[in-house]
Amino acid sequence: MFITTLQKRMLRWLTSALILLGSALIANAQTPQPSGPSLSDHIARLSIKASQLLPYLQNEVLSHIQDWVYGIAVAVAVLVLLFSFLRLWRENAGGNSNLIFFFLRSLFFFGLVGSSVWIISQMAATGREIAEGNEINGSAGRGLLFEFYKAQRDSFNESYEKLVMGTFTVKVDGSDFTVRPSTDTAGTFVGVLYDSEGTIKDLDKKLSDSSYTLPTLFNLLNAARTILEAGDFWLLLLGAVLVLIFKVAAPLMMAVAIDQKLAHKVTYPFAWGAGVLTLIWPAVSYFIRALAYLFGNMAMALGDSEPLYNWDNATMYAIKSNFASPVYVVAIATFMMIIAGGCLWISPYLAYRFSMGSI
Amino acid sequence: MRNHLSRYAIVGLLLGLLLVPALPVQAQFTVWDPTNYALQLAKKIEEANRWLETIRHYATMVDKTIQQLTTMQGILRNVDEQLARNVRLVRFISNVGQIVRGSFQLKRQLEGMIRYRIAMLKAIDDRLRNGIFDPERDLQDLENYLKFTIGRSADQTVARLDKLARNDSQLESWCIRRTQVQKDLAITRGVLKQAEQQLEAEKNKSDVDQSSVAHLNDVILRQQQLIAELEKEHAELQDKITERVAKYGLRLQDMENFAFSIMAATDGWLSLQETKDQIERTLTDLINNTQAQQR
Repeated sequence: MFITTLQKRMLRWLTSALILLGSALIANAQTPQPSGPSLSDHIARLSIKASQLLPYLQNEVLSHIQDWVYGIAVAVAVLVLLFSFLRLWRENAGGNSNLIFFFLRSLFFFGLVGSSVWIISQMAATGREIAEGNEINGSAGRGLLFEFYKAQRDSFNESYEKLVMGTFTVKVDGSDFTVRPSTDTAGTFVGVLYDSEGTIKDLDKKLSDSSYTLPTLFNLLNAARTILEAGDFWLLLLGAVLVLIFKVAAPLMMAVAIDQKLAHKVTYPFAWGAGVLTLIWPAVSYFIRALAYLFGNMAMALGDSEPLYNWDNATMYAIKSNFASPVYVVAIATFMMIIAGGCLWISPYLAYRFSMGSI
Repeated sequence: MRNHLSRYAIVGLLLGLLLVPALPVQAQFTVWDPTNYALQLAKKIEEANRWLETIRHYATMVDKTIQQLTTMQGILRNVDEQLARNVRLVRFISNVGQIVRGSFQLKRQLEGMIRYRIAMLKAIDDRLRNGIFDPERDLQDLENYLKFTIGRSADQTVARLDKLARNDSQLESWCIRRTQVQKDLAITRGVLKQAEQQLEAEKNKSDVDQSSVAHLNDVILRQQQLIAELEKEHAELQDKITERVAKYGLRLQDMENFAFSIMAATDGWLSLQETKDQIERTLTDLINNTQAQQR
């Protein structure tokens, strides 16, 4: 019996070793990966770094500050309570029914000093649920605004890629080039350096300033998209960071609210701001961001999804269609994206003015 | 009675003649001539002998060919003859200038390759000096060397030059002029060689028989000057063509690099979207975790 078990074990070990060796051989046969990190790798690192640093910011910095602020808030609450009581006593020339309301109010705000952080978190979660929907229900539970934003963003990505590939690249025969970028969708292609070339038989004239350099236009288009994407990122960060700051400051604000006059001056605007920021802002933010991508999509609609250039293998030049005007298309698209991105950047200020009734 | 008998006999004979089938006609016997027969036979034998000679001749040829093709000596002799023929042909069509130019071109290519290899080795050496042992980078350097030196120069230079010459009229005119200069150089060198041989032949003669030595010297001098001028022009044309082709190469390189930039930027934008989603999730988790901690 023991021998049989031993044999089985040995057989199992042997099989495992064979599988391991086999898998090692398969691993050796894989295509070698490019050595240097690409731009997307660098951006992906940003995500990883942010995922590491943001919890650190919360756990090591904000939580400690929150503790200090909580301690200060209790002290401030006691002081405010004392001075408010004295003021009320002096104004009313002794005790009356106002004093009862004062103590009830003080009790209420004392309670808020301890629970305001939790309340803001709850409000933030509620506001996010209003904007994004409930993730537990899957795709069916997503909010309309969130779906609208996602659809516009994905459509913008797709249109942008089509515009760029159609305007700045030309498909070539792969056998002409030793080094060649190639994708599953676009095939083998090279970039087009000038918007019009291929008829004058002189190289020097190609290098003159009479034709627009498409790499420059590509950089301008990318710069406009950077403004748009950075605006999107700015709104994303701003909302979260403001919620965290509001959570830190909430106990102090509630402590100040024990005094009625200070409450009118400081706490009520803060409470109004917290309500707007946590409950309304996520939905408004998604709406503004979706609008920006909608404008971006309109800009992309200017371009043609079909490639503007054909590669002439005999002369090795990219021949442009006579009716195509990539320079104007890119210029208008860039302008529209800059406007949309700029609106994203100033949208918090506009929203603030709107919420305060200034607009 | 006798008349009856004779009548019957005649009738019977007539009937018999009618009934009996006619006999075949017999040919006349030929006349046999022994002298003529002997003469014909001698002719046939002579013809057969002639055929035999022909067959023997062809058999000898086949045997010889088989011997040539199956023995080492025969093969070597054939090869030798072919090579001699080729050498004569090559000597006929070649000129020294082409060999010299080819040698210089080879030298330039080797210099370029060696320079790149030195850069590669320097990169490896720098890493070693800095205490970095990285076999993968070393392998990458080697791959770059193989990809960007051997691959480009060997596979595409000729075809690309043809295409460029078709496209660029200036380059085409330079190429045509270079070919003309090469031909002129070959002719001039031939004239020079001939004049030198004539001069040598004249010098071998006695002083009395020598003639036109001065003229030959003059011809040699002029041909040498002409060769120097043509070589200078050829070198200038070669430099211009090389520079022009390098410009085209750089242009294509720029196009490839731009394509890589576009691809990298497109991937980067997609990656940025994912990054934003990830950061948004992190922030949401941060707020929710804080909420949990508060609880």
